[in-house]
Amino acid sequence: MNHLLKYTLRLGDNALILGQRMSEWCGHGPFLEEDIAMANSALDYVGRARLLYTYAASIDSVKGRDEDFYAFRRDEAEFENLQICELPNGDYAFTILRQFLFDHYCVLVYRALSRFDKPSDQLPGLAAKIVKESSFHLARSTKWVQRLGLGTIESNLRMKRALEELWGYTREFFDYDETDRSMVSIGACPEKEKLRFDWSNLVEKVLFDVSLKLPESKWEANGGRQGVHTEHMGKLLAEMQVLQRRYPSLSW
Amino acid sequence: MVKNMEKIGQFERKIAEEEKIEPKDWMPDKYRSSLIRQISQHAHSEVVGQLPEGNWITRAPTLRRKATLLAKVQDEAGHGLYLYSAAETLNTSREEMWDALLDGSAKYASIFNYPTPTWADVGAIGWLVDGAAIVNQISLCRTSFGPYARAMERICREESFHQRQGFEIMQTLAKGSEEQREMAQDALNRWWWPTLMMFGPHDAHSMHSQQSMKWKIKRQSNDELRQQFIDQTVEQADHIGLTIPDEKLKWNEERGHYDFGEIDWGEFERVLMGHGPCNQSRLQARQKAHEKGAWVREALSVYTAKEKRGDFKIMEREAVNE
Amino acid sequence: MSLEQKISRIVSQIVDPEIPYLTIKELGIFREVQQEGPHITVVIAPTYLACPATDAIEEEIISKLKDEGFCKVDVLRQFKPSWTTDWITKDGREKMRRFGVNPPETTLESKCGLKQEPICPKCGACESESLNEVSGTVCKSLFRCLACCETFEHFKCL
Repeated sequence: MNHLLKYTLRLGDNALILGQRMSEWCGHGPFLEEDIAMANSALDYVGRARLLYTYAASIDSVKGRDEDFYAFRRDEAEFENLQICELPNGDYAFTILRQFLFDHYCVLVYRALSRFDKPSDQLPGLAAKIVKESSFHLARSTKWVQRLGLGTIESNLRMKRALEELWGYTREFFDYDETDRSMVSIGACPEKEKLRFDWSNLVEKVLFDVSLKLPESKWEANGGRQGVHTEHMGKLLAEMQVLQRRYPSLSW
Repeated sequence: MVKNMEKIGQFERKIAEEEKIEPKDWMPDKYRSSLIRQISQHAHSEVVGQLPEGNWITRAPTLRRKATLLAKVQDEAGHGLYLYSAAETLNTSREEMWDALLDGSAKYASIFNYPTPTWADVGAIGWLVDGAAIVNQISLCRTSFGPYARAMERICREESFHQRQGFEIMQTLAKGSEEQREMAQDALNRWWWPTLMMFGPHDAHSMHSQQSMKWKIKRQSNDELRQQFIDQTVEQADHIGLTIPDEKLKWNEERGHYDFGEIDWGEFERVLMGHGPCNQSRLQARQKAHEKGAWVREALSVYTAKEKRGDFKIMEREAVNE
Repeated sequence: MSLEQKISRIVSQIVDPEIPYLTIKELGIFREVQQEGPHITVVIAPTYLACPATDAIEEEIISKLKDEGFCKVDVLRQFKPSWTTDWITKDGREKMRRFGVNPPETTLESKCGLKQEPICPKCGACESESLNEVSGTVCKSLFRCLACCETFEHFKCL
């Protein structure tokens, strides 16, 4: 089992699937500046996925694969993204909060990956750059969490509803399996309880400051890492992969 | 009265001597309103233009194409922002301009009222529509209003890359499978004539052209620009093996230009008057986004006011004291 | 002239397709040429990971070198050390100003809080209002000069 390959593909899948969701906002944002911001976020995630998939192809024992193979020619059960990424966008509160919760997770995970000691390997450097660029996104989504949390009664209520819906999906961040544990053992992934502690500290402080209580529901999502998805994933892939499925083996 | 004559004299001298008119300069009211109309229309076009292309982002056939299309749509939105900002220096506001777009009283480029049913349409828009926009915008780089001229220089540089990307999509399809070639040819057939209409009516029938030319807002006539576009594009189509859908298209040695068939001005009028295939859906999409986003804008406005008042500093101090 | 110098000269003149008045040398994207026998590797540092210009730049490098007879060429994307706006050359910054874009402050100035107000490329005034954090591309933000009303872009420090 090539755990590094599996781990990299998971990170790529997270980025691609969330990028796909964010790109649905193009031209439909609440005002022009946000159209730009959403397009930019979507582009960053897709760009990240491309590089991770390209790296994965270089270490895949099956030769001849590339970024488009992983994106367009795998079936649902082969995608191992976290379920939170595939959820439909909902309203702006849902979209912003999802990005905020996920970006904090990303920064911690990629920071660990950037410290992974693998000389003359591209992955740690790529991870470091992802951390750097993620800081822009995090600053933006944090600001929006503050604006919507402390803006009006309506915006606060929408944030509350969004948090209730999203919280159970964040539990999946800490649902480690053999691949994660293998990556922890080589110093490329944060240890599970440290990740939970750091993430919770960062996120809960902001939520508290904007008067959002942590939900009480004990429901937890799981299965994403094993290719088990919500009912939304099939439709997302049907749309994303349509041309390559309809016209296989062509150049575009 | 005398002072006004002096101001008019100064303004006209600047125009004659190709000096730029800047936002703080005196300008006739009609010059100002013409510019507001033209610049805001241009901005609206960039913004509405996100929709036909945005239609294919989620279905782009490769990750590279998906990323390129996302970047293009972001770029266009950025151009819109820049142009709205330039228009605002003429004493109008974003709210006014946006309201005019949403209530249908302001126009945007009619070309975006056509649908994008296939992937090849994305290529056609980049190649033809951006190509036509560039021809128009190069001419506008010499427009008399400084901020608009400088915006055009900037936008032209960036749109050249978009045009190249669109052309590459068409080129790839044209040398692909039979289905891909047909897809590309079909898109060219549907976008060619509407693109030619982008340059507006024949000069003799153009309502605003005369005054715009006098004030050097407009630098070349509709027909001149249209001819330039046709001449450059026919050769590009030949190069990739696609056929322009015009039986009357023929090189005229004497004129040094291509002769071409007559545009269906009835279709142009119909789309301009709101009866094109996507007029309703484009406007409704922006209206819906605006309505759905009202609570977001309100939250932002209320939060910003609270921040200015220092409400959050009080909260921080109270938290520390606790 | 050594082979590496010859190749460097060719590659240095390639422009960034999104910012066509700047070369990849001026932007600090082009880093170095590595040679191993007949095999040549051109090392570039992508500005932003998702920048679509990077693919076009890679293709242009390979194409231009092929035209000059160098067929065994690879392009390597370097992430470490990561591209920084500090690598934009002095000429590059000057060109930005000439083309109406305010160049970035250095990372040191940014870290020390010595960030200057963006200077209006049209009138030179230091008083502007921020219009948006992200302009049409992620690398630039949008400002308006309060003195002359000019809208201009500011290249962000990274």
